[in-house]
Amino acid sequence: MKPFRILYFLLTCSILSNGCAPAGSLMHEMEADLKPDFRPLDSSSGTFLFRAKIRLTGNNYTGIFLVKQVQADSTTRIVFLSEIGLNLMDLKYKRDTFELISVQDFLDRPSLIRMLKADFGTLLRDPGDLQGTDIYYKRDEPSEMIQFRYNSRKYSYFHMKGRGVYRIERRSGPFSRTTYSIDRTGPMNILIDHGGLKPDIELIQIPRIDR
Amino acid sequence: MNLHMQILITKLAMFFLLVASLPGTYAQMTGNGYQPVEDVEKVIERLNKSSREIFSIKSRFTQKKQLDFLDETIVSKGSFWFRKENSLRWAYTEPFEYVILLNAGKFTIIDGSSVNEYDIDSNAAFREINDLIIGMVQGRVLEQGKFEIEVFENGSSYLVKLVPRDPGIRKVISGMDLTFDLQDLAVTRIVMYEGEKDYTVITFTDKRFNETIPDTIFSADM
Repeated sequence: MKPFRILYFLLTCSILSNGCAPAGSLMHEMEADLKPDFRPLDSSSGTFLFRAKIRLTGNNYTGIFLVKQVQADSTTRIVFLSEIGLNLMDLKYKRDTFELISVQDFLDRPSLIRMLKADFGTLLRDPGDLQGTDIYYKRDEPSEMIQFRYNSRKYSYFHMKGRGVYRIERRSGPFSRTTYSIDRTGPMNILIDHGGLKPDIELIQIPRIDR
Repeated sequence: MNLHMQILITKLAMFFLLVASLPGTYAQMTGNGYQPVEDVEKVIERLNKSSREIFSIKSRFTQKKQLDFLDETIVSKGSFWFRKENSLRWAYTEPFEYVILLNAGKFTIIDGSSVNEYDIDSNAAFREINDLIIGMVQGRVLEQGKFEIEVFENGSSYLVKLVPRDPGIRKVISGMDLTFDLQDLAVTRIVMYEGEKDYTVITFTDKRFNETIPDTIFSADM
């Protein structure tokens, strides 16, 4: 029976861990000037161009992700391009809602599109803009962390002065966790690990974009 | 890489190979003043004849991607090498290194330290590429009926407008413009259209014909 007890203990811990709010203060109660920017990608600050590698079992996709805010309608466009410049997928993002503009047949897979929407939503969303969501804040020098629940998922954003947001965790149950590791020491590198056999995505910022 | 991906890459590569195999050196397209050519067959025969006389090409290229909502241009640069009968290296050097290699019955993609190799004979689409290249170097491509063709002339260059007949390819690229220098029948510029406002322009520089290209150029170990 011992293995079952251990399993029960682990499951219970996991559920408890996932179900309880972390110790800390409500972010909304913080002084505004103390609140760091927890938004990983601020599309209003310019055009982001990423070299993209999507690794699945037996399927590898590479290309370029372009992330750009369109001033005219305040939307953000996320376009996946092939290396030779052809459009593979085009998404429009505004107020946490995505619209699929176009997608090539071979990428037209609901699970893949859903995954990309969730990932770019996590990267583009400003947690401070979420209405009606309690955001818990914790400082553990030199790190700061926020946690909140949104759309049945639990998010943890880790921030460090000088590094910005360097890690995000998104949980949608005790066994489903996606982690985003963000390294800005050189060109920004974002590694998205969906866990298990799900795809890994690596985004490497391409710093140069010519006018 | 699944079959759909292979087919897509193959179709895209077909365009590359079609384009890359055409002989040429360049001048910028003047843009206006093109008039329809009456004897299209005669022009195509001239282009094909010129193609048949080429056994190797080396060139640099600049690729510019334009999106309707984007006020910037995404620029990539690189070089390509082609050698009869069917060896091609299409290599991006900026903004990152990425190579499409076709040689000795293999289709290879080199992405940084990652090398993925596929047998041309393992896939009908790869075989089609191979046949296309051979057709190209033998001057048959524009005769193969894969495109609706219109030809224009403005006194210094030909503008050949191609619309794919294959609906699958047309979903990716709605059309292509090839600009040839009128004197040496060299390709100066390629435009690949995706809808009305999204397009990619590839221009070629430092083009050299019929020079010896070593085998190592077409190796993934280079």
